[in-house]
Amino acid sequence: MALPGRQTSIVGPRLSPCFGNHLKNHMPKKKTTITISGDVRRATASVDAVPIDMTENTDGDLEGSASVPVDRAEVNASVTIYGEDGTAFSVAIAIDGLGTAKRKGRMTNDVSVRWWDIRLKDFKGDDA
Amino acid sequence: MMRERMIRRIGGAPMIVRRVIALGVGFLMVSARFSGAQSQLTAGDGKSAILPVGQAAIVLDLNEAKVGVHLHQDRNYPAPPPVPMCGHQVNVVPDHRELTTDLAVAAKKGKRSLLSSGSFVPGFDLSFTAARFFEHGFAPPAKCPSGDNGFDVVSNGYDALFLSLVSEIADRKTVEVSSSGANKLTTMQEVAGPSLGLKGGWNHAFGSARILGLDLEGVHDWKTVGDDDPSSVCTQSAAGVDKNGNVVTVQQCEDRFIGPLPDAWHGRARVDWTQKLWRAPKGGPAIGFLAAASLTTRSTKAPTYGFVLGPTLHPKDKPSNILGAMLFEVTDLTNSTHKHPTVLKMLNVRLVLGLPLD
Repeated sequence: MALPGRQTSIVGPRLSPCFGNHLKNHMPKKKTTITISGDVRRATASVDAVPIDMTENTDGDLEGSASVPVDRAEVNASVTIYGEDGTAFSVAIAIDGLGTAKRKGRMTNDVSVRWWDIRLKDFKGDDA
Repeated sequence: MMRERMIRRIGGAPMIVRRVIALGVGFLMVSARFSGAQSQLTAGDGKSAILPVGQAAIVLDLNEAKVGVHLHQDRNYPAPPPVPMCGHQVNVVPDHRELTTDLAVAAKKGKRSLLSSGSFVPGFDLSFTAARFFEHGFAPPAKCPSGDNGFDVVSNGYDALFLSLVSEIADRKTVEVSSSGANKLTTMQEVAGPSLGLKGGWNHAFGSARILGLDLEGVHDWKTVGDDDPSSVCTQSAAGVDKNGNVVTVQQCEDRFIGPLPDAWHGRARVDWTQKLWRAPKGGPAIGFLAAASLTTRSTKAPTYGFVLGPTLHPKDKPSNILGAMLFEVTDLTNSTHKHPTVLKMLNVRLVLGLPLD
């Protein structure tokens, strides 16, 4: 199924770091939004090492976005969540034009540190 | 008119019926947007000094039959640089500032007992709070995970300083009897009793589930009733003699405070402690408790001491929300007001039910 706005040209093997950084500086940036749902006290996040300031949205979830050059076959999302032992949470990573990838977790202590390498093909459109 | 009729009807019902009606009114009239984590609970003649954060739920406080809204604004200070941990650059939660506004309308303002009579005492609370949170991050795990995509660790907690502007107003029914004249004139009226004050405090979280709160409050009360209880004031509407010659009177009675009401200052110091005691496995329900002690001084009376202790129930997967609490309150432990001579008169039970909105 075709994903809305999907650009197949950017899906490919991971580039060498040197060439990748050069290319990254010239790639158009895409707005990337991370939303954390659940009984979460505070959280902070980053995508490909670009920090995202998380604030509460109108639904009571923590949300933040940043413009990130997407030039590889995958992106790395990292979140640090402050809550209580037993808190269930879900993380949605949305990239404009690519769709959304979701991950779930449950804390076994006060702070949960999570990171994922998510392949671009794992980003599903809203109608997927 | 309708209200008077309702009060009259409630006043004439047997005690058990009045209690059931009061309970029903509490259920129907109370809904509040309530903070989730470290919820601020009203108990022991004040609110817990534990700061709220903005998550929504409906909370039923059966004592005051209160409906309210909680507005919350949050702003992060600049984020500290990521910390290298287990081969990753880990983001740390920045310090932040929170501004909250709470507005609540009560149908039984200032009622302390769980099932008092069905009297209607309208009033509202309004408060603005500014809080500065100092986050202390977390320690690295004892052993870094291998081939995993994460780890959970213990928080170092946070400190928070807060300042609140607090105000409230309650509609008091009073009766005043003039001290002179052959026919002493009796005046019955409804008097608005406002108060305005400042509250400042400090919270320290030892991790996310154990929090200590301290606060100090200074408030000026206009036309206050303090700890006084209302008197039953009756108006004779008819009188006659039955067939046996007995005198029969028909009276309409209601609770009123003896006026004129004085102005006064009161100050309060309060310490709160909240902790989770037990959690079911796999994110199941959790059981915790809230304990508080307070000292209240009034410019017109001797100081009073209060204590609160009770269990709290927290829902599956959301341990910082509250499903319910049963708080046992002891007011005026030393009976300095001479109105609580027995333990039963000092003891109240406050029920709080929380219904998460998400």
